[in-house]
Amino acid sequence: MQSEKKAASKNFILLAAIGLISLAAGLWISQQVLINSNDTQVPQNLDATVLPNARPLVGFNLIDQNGSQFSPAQLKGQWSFLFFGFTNCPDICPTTLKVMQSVWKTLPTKMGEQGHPRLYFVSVDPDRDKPETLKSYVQYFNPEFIGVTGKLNELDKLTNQIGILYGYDEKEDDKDLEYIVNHSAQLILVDPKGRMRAVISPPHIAKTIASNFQTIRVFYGD
Amino acid sequence: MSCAKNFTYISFIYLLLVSAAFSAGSLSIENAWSPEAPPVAKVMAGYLKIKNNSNNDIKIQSASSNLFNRVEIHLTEMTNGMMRMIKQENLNIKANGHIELKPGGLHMMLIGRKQPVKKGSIIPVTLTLDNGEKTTINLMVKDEPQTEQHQHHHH
Repeated sequence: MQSEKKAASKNFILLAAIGLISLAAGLWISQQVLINSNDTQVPQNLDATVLPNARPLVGFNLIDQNGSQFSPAQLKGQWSFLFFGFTNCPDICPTTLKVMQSVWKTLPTKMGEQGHPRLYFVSVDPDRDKPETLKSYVQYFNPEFIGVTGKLNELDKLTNQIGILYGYDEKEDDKDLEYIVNHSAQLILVDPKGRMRAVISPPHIAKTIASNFQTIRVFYGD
Repeated sequence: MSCAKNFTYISFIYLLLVSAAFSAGSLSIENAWSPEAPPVAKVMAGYLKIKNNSNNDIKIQSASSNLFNRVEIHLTEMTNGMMRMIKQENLNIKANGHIELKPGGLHMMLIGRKQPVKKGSIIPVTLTLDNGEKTTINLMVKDEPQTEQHQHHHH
C-alpha cells in the first residue's frame, strides 16, 4: 500500500516538473518569435528609408584612425552610422558631421551604455586622408567619432554593398593635391548584427535623425 | 556748336565714370561667414547673401584671398544619389536681384589654407567683377550662421 502511494507521488512530481519545464520553454520560444517577427517589418512614418530585409555587410578589410582593423566584426554589437566623404570637403562633410554632433548631444545614452551608437566617417580619399589626418579631423566634431579608410579595392567592397558612389574630378596633374571628390551623401544605419538597416538621405536634420534612430532602435531591439 | 559737343562728351565720360563707381557699390553683402573647420582641413567654405541694388546684371568673375591658395565658387548638386561639386566659372547676380551661397548649395570653396583660421577671425575675400571692379568681403569664422547683419560696400 505504502509503496504504491510513494510511486504515485513520484509520478506526480515528475509530471509537475515536466509541466513546468514545458511552460518555461514555451514562454521562451514565443518570446524569441515575437522579437524576431519584427525583423522583416519596418516602422512607419519615418524620414529614413528602412530596409525590410536588413543587408549583412561582409568581406571588407579597412583600417581605422588608430591603425586597427575595421572589418565586419567592428559593426557587430552596437548600432553604427556610416558616412562617406573626405577631409578636403568644404561643404557636405563638415555640415553633416556637425549635424551628427548635434544628434549625439541629444542621445539618451552614453558611450559604453547599451543602445549607444557609433559613427564611422569613411574616407574615400585614401591618397590624402591618412589615419592620423582622419583622427584629427573627426575628433574635432566629436571625440567619439571614428575615421576609417583603406585601399580603394577594399573601400569598393564596402561601398558597392551599400550602394554608395564616389569618384574623383580630374586632377590637374600628378602633383595636384587639391582635386575634388564627389560622393554619395547618405547616412547609413547598421544594426548590432552588422546589417545595413536604414538609409538617411540629405538634407540631414539633427532632430529628425535623432528621433528616427530611437524609433528604429526600439522597433528592432539593441 | 562745339561747346555743346564738348559738353556732350564730358557728360558722357562723367556718366561712364559715375556708373563704374556705382557698380561695385551696388552690391550689398549679408551674413558673410565661414564655418570653423578642423585644424587639419586645408579647405574651408564661404557662405553669404549678395544683393545687386543696381539696374544692371553684375557678374562675379573670380575671387581670391591672401589666406588661401585659391578661391573658387562651387554648386553642390545631387545627381543619382551622389553629391557633386560643380565649379562655377562666374556668378551672375541679376539686376535688382540677389543670390545666396549656403550649405548644400552654392558656396565659396577656399582651397589651400595657408595659416590657422580660428573662430572669431575674419577671412577677407576679394571679388573681381565683370566690369573690372574689385570688392572685398569679410567672411566671419564661426560655428553657426549669424542672424541678419547688413554690410554695404561702396567704392
